Amino acid sequence: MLKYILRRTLTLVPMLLVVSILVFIALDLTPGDPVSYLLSPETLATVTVEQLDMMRENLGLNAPIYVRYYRWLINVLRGDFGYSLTYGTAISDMLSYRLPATLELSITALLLSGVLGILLGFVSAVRQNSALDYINTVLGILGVSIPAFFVGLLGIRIFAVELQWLPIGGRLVYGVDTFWGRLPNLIMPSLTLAIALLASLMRYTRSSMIDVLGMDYVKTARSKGLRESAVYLRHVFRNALAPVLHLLLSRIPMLIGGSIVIESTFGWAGMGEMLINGISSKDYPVIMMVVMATAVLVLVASLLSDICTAVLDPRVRLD
Amino acid sequence: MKKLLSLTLALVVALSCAVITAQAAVDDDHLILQCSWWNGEMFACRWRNVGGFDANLVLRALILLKADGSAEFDRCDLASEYVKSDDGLTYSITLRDDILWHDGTPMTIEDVAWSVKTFLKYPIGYAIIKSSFQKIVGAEDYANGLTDELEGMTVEGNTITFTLMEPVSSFEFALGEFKPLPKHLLEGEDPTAINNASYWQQPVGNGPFAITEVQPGNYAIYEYFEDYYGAEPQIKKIRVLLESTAVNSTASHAAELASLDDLDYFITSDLATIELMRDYPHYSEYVNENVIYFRYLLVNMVGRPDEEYNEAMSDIRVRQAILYALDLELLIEQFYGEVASMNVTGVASHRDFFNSDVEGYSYDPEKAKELLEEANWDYDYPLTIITRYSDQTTKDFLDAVQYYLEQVGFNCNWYIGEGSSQVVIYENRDFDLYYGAIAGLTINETYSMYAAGLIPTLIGVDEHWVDLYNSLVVSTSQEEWTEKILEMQEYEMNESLVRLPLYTRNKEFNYVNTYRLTLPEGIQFGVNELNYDTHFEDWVLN
Repeated sequence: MLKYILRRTLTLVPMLLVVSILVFIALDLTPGDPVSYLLSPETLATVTVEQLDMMRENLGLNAPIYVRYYRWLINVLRGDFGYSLTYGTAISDMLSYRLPATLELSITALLLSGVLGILLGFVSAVRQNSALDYINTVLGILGVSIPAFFVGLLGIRIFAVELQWLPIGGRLVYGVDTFWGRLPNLIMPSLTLAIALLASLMRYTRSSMIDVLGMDYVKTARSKGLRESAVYLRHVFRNALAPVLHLLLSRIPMLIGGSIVIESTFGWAGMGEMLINGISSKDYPVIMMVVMATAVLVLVASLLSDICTAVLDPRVRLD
Repeated sequence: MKKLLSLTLALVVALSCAVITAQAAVDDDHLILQCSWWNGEMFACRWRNVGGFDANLVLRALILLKADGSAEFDRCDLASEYVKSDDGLTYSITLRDDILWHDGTPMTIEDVAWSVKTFLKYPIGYAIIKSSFQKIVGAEDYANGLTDELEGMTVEGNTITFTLMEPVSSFEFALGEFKPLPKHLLEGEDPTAINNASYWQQPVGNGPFAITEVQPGNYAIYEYFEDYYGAEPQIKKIRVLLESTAVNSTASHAAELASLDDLDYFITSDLATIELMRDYPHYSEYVNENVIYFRYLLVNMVGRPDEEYNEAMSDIRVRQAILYALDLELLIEQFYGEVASMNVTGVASHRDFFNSDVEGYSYDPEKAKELLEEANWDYDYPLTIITRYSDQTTKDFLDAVQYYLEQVGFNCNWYIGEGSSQVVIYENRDFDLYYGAIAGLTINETYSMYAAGLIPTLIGVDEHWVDLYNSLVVSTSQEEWTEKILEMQEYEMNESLVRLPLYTRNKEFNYVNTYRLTLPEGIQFGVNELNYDTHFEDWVLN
């Protein structure tokens, strides 16, 4: 296992290099530049071409693409993530407060979707073809069909505007330092992010449990006189869990990527919002670092998923 | 199983109750504002974006200007004394000796001197301040690095004196809007990129409020600075929210308004918000009609890169026909309602110095067709309009403009110019008309674009315009200035006609939550960016 982990970790480096080159080239091909973002159309009326060019020169935008990429790569290898061209803030500073925000949102969504998805799937399997099962089926279909941002807007309308139970957006609350105190701000964004995965998990748990329910050892357990709860919990659920957990862990990259839209919808100051702002302004140092950070998270999540699968299912060998 | 389910359900309900009751109570001891100069990461450099209500509570200027839009001196602020010579060539300012920066360092006249000198080297400083300061004797040589000292600026004790090459009508305005910065925190920074200094993450100011807490992407806290030299405000703490937090642009308007109960005071020119605010009677409305946000169609006279000049637009009758073809009054009423008014010239019609002798071009499609016939217009020529704005109102407005132009025979189309401004506007120039805007605090600014910037690039250098603008700038009296501005309007509309005036968004609406906030009697709100006396010391939280 250790060799496998080491080998997978080492392959991260060339993969990240390829990703960085592809993203850098793609960015260069897109129209726009940070200078145009910095100057409003109203300011443009009185700015000369020479001033525009000076701004571009100051930001290093006049250098050829390979020179800019080389400078960026060397700085990153030295641990210098650079500065945002539009904000002027050190990108490492930006990541230091935005990455925890994204992780907070994604991990909460993961836990919510995991717990609720598995629980509801379990109940559906136990109460097959009941009213509860049908309701869960409909909710599951809706969950995977409706786009997350729409669910978010709907949630804002109902719970924040009409009922005023929860805040509209934002992550931090003035005067509140604890996670518990900030929980109301986290509920809607994390649930919105979790919905699609929750629906998939619910359906998959149900199917997996139904498959296991048909196995001979389950019949044996029943015929031995075990209580139903013991049959479900000790035999059915445990054996149905492995593929479900694999699905859960393999969807972590989707959560990280999906947080971009949710963060924007709820004004959640995370990496997703940072990326969107960077793209709007073609702030390539910001875009590069967010993409690299996301790529690392995704690749690490993928590795964790494989390891967990191997741990849960002794039949799986990592080599 | 049932017990497990019941237990789970009870736990969820208990958790929900706890969460809802655990929500932080509204903190009643501080004012909540929408931030005017913070993007969630950095506060905007005050030398590029001059103003904003809350920004002026942190960083102050030497003098205050009148709120009535005249851009004239009202009273001293950082200065204890201000003297302007009769000939308009000398300005002397004596700095107060009791000013501290928020880090406790005394503010000295050296901060002012250093700030002026550094500003001259800052390439994208606020245009009207830049053009005013460039009239200081020796400014050009200093800015270009030919001299180490600024000849026209002298310091004696706590007094700084500026000597100008010629009178500048906007110099007083520039002194009122220019915010000196702390030399001890910024002197090591590159002057050409000072807006990127880390200072702007949490600026150290000299106003009644210091920025004490910054939560990137969320909110910032201003707290009363105990050693402030001026009148002590009754409100001691302010929380400023990002626009995306306070008025969520991705949510519905109703959702935006639901959060407005968190805002004690805000400013808007958005028509939809203004109409919806009428449903919230506890918000008092104060209207300011001195906003200068002027939109126009600028003619590309120099043409595309492969042309010597734009032959299609060179005939003034074609340009006149464009204006005659547009029912601007109807368009403005439909799209901008009460926040905008039609322009006959570059000066809004309600201003004192509007030239009412200029006839203008009222909606007359028959006249437009007649002019096109006279000009031998090629009706197959694709008249192209470009804009940099991508909001829906602009798109709808330009669709309507296109419709009107087509009614008189133009083969018109428009598009949003995306990408680098340098490439789209200055290099490619693939358009006949540019739909743009200029925002300013003085009328001088709306005409400054004839002397530098977009217009000279797109029409070529017009020496007469340069002379006119320069003569406006050096006016030494209000009468002389008014005479020049009238002359400019006449030339603009009767002979030049390269900037086709459309409308001015001239109103700002200030909303005050009367449940939470009481303002002093008779308060007059100026334009948000204007540095005027808001009498904030008399604002009271209920």
